[in-house]
Amino acid sequence: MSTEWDALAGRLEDRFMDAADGGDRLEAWAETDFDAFARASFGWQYELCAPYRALCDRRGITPGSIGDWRDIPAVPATAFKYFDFVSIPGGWVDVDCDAVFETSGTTRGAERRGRHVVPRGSLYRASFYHPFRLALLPDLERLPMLSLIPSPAEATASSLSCMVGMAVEEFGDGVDWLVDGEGRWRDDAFDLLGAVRRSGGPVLLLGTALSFVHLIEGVEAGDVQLPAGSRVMETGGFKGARRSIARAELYARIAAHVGVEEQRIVNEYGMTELLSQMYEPVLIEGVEAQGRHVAPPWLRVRILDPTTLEERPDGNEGLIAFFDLANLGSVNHILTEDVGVIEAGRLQLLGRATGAEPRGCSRAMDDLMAGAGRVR
Amino acid sequence: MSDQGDLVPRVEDVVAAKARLTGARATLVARPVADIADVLGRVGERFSDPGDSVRREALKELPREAVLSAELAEAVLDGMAVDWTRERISRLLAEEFEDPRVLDGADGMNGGRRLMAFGPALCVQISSGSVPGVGVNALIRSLLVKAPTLIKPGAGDVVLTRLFVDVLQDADAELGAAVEVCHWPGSDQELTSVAIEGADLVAAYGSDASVRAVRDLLPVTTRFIPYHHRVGIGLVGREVLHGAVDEVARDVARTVAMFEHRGCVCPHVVFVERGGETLPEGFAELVSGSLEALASEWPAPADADEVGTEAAEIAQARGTVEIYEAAGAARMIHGGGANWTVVFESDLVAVPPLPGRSVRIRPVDDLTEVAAILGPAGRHLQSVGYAGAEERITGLAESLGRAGASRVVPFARVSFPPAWWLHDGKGPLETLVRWVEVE
Repeated sequence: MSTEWDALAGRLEDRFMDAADGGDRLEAWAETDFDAFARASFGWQYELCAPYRALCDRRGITPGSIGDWRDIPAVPATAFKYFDFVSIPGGWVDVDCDAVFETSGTTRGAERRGRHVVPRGSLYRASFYHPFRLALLPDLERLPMLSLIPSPAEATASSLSCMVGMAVEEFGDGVDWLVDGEGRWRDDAFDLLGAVRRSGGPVLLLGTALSFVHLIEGVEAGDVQLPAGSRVMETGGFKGARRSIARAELYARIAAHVGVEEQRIVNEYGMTELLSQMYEPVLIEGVEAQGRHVAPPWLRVRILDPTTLEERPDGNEGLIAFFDLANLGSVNHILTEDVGVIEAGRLQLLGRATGAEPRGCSRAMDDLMAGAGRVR
Repeated sequence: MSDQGDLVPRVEDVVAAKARLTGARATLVARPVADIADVLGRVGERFSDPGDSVRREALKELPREAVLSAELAEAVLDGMAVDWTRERISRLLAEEFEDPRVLDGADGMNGGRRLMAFGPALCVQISSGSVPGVGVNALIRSLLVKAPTLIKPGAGDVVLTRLFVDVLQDADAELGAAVEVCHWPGSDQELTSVAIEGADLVAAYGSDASVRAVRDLLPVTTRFIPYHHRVGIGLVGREVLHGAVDEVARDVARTVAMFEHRGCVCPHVVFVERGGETLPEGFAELVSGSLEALASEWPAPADADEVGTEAAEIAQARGTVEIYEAAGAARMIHGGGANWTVVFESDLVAVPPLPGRSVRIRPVDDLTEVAAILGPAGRHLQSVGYAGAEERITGLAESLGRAGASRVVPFARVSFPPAWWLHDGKGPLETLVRWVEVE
């Protein structure tokens, strides 16, 4: 493996880990600082990732031609279903990669899954560390965890499980995994939850929105009473226009069923294609922070016009594009299908543009027909 | 989107509607089928009469509800309403039954085998999607076989279905009483369960998942007609790739743009033979030109949410295809801000689903290869549009029929099959009835 590439990865990891300013925020990065890292990363990604280089060449964009990081071509998240974007010296066939994450299926059923190859897991860990700590443990060093998300040992392809695994290692004072790799409840899950003593110290309960729905169905309100100071991390919330309504209801019910105040439920926003995460800092800022995600300084968020893909000023709705320096091993610049708006430096998620059931009986037969594999 | 003004019915509303239908059956089955056909035709004809207030009402509501431009909504209504006339409905009966009076019970039995055909005592039709007119077609079929019917129209098809039933109730209270229109979200399994309980026959239209969800609720004694996910393809033979080839391209483009490409008849892939004067790639360019022209004849819908959603999907799909294009595996021609996209595949690649008015053009050395290329996708195949020499079509139709197709038709007629088409391989009335023979 190239020492220069490793040196860049190492510098990024150091910066991610040094980002805490000692207070309850991450220190902002100067634009020139971010841009320099972005350019250096793009140089490698252009050189190492053949499908990405082809796209850049087609658009006439090379590492030497860009004005700033915004000119670096973005890859649509959908393309991770069709191509492997791997930027590692030596190529990923010959070099051991630390993880290969897959996107979960959706209601569309047996559709193609996206795949994010992660050559260097320590970048993921470094980008995870402080944002998670500040969002979930601003007041504590460690605490016991209860997870409604499968363990990384049982769900090796899940980036979320990997993240929870890192959380347990870095900040956990023991963990109970309440569901198995298939997402089934363990026989003793409800007993374990019920046994968490009201009089004990605070715990962290982590789960997806769907797992909380199942939890609520499984326990009577009041049966589980997590100790004072406990907190919840909820992720993968309801997408779509009804999100806010569904979410308010979900949070009220989580609060009623596990005995954690709504303002201690922290939403995490992440996607398989990005190694960095965003959180709503409600534990520090209170309920005002709900619905307003904070990006770490190495993740830049922009809102684009859906048709022209031109950047829109703050306060305007549009498609969300991310530039994530933690993605050194794949591609930094990702265009999502999610709609959002940026106000006062915070991202409000307005839902997913797609995800509704395809209309009528017309759905593309593409996946049915062409058996062609992925392109590297 | 479309039915926000409608309240979702309560369980007791659906139960009451079914009780009314049960009560309406005796009167319905006593009516001669010729009489029913006549009334349905008179009602339906109002939708194609430019001077009629019913047509004007339909055209006023359709664009918003079905998310179509006014121009395309009118083209859709015109195409659909062709079949809602006395002449066409009579022909539907005649195409389906040697003597339609078999539907009139003992009175209708004549010489030869003594046969009677009975529609279900209670029929439930669960439709989906946003192609307007599907619900009316379903109702016409139901009433012709004298089946009291509860219909759940697709989200984009509520207005037209309700309007038809309103006019029917005014025209003929007895027939009108044999139909109930209820709309609820397909995800509401409780209401679906209530609706289908006690039905003799359930027809469900929609995605594989939504059809399966209905099927899984049914007892074994309830007949089920699954109109699951279907796709269309097209074939262009080398013999038409010269001279008036632009007309072929124009017909292909119209089938792609009709219904904003949301219909099960719309072609997703058009196979173009090599060896003609116009090369397959040139044909893709001609189709692109026609789609560009159609963008002004039939503008895309203006609904802001819908446009944003589609634009996001298009950005993902086009962005992904662009990477294939960069690798030399495909060529994409698209309308920029317009929602049409043509992908010419020089190589066998897996392309993401293309939203909007979109089609893939795939070259083949010979059209006889197509059936094999389809493979398991044939199970979802329905209409095959074609342009080619007549003498080749029957042979190709045989191989595609064996592969799963149920309809092989010139491109110009792909969008609007006649009322008596073999819908997914079965006669639309015949599939609803149960035969009784007196030996």
